[in-house]
Amino acid sequence: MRNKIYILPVLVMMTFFLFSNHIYGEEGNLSDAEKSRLKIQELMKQIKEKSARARELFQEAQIEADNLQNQAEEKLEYLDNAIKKAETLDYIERSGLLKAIELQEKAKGLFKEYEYIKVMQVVKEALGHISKVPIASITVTPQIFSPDGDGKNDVLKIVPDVFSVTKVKRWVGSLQKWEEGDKKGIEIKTWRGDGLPPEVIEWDGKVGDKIAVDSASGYIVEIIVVDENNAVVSSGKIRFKTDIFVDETDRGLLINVSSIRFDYNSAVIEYQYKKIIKMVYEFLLRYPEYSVAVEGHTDASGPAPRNKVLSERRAQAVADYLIELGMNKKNLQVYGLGEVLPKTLDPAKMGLNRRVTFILLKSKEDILKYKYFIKKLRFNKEIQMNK
Amino acid sequence: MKRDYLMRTVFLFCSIILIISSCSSIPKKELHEAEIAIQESEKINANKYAPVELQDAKKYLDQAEKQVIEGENEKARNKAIVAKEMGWTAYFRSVNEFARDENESTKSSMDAAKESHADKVVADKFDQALKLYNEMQKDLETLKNLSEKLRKESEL
Repeated sequence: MRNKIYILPVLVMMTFFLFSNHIYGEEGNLSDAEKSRLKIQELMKQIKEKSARARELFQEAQIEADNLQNQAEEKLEYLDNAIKKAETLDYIERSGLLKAIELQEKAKGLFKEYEYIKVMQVVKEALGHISKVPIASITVTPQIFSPDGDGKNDVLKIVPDVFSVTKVKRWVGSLQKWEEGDKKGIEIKTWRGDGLPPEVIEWDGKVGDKIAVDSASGYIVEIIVVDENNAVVSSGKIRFKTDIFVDETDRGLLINVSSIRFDYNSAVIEYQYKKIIKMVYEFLLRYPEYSVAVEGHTDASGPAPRNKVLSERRAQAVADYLIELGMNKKNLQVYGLGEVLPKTLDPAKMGLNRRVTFILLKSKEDILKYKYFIKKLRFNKEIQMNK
Repeated sequence: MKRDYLMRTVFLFCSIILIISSCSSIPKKELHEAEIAIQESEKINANKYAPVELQDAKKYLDQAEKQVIEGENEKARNKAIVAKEMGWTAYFRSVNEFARDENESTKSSMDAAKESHADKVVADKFDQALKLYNEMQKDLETLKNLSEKLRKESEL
């Protein structure tokens, strides 16, 4: 009996000894070197986070400073022209003109001291002395609008700045899609009201429940005011861009940019599409740890094996250009999908199917899921063809 | 008699425990740890700063995975452990250079912002970034000391 009492704790201790690593892990036994390693890992994490955030803030500060400088320069130029014009108009009072010239000098001094916001205020005051109609301008932030709900640049802020010695009766604001070369924009959203416009107009990018702006596109905003004398004054058109959006699809996150299109039987990237690839490259720079599947596609003309080779060549051409721009080769996966994933089935629009698309792959699971999807797609296509 | 019975029970119990603890199963933990070491190294661009070590780590992990498929779990375990060690070697050989490059890139952004007079025009945002940059300098100094310490410890 006494032996049993002694043996039992021995058994328990042996069991504990054998499994202690599984129960408690190994942290309790860390050597100094291992502790240093853990500290280094923690420090690296902090350095990465801090440097990324600091860079982002420095870049934002640089963009804001450049924008303010440009705006101040534009205002000074506008005032200069307004004064020159006022000197030729007999209805402008001499005292008002002299006051505007005095304020112009003050604004120039402030510009040299980088006081751009004050410059704009002084210019506005100066214009008030020589202008018979309202003066309207707007600022739009962010420069790159991204209404995807991630908390960054989700809200577009339009700040109207209207100065008028006469009474403003009403105002209309409009937001239009506009790309370089377009003669006329496509209206997306309008705001209107009586009296002066509000201090700020905020927009979440939606009309109803749907996001009304496209990925990676150009837009313009303009405010028009009408005063009591029915003088119609525009703020001028201010441009901004939308960020690249990512759409969830069955095969992963599709990077929503215009497709890179190709001529019939060609794998040569046209000049205008290089701009889109560059945009994708800049977008991918934000996610250095993710991979991207570059997918080549063809139209349905021609035999399937030939289409597969051609689509691979297209995808490879785009991948090579991304590498040329500085993209890490390891983060790129090239897939020739042939004609299995058409954009359209309309025979008149077959050209739209000769393209390259991009899928963002965040993890190994994403890659496996993607490969499985592609295999399944090819398998289904083969069954269809055999039928 | 009773004593013999008791001793046999103890022997049997110990044998079961030893068999359970040493039986050769798939080395999931070791493979996972090796994968983590390689992933962490890749995150700090070890392919640029310690390419040989990283390649070796991947090679050993590949071999370990193949050996798992062939059912040679004990060999796979050893290969995975080597892969993990090589992965972390790649990581620690890369830390200083990666941190230096991060620092230089941040400094370039700061210089560009200064050129646009952002330090005067949008002082709030610039100062916020500058504070992070200065904190980073302290972190870099600590990192340098820790790496030096680790290097000396490894030499010992």
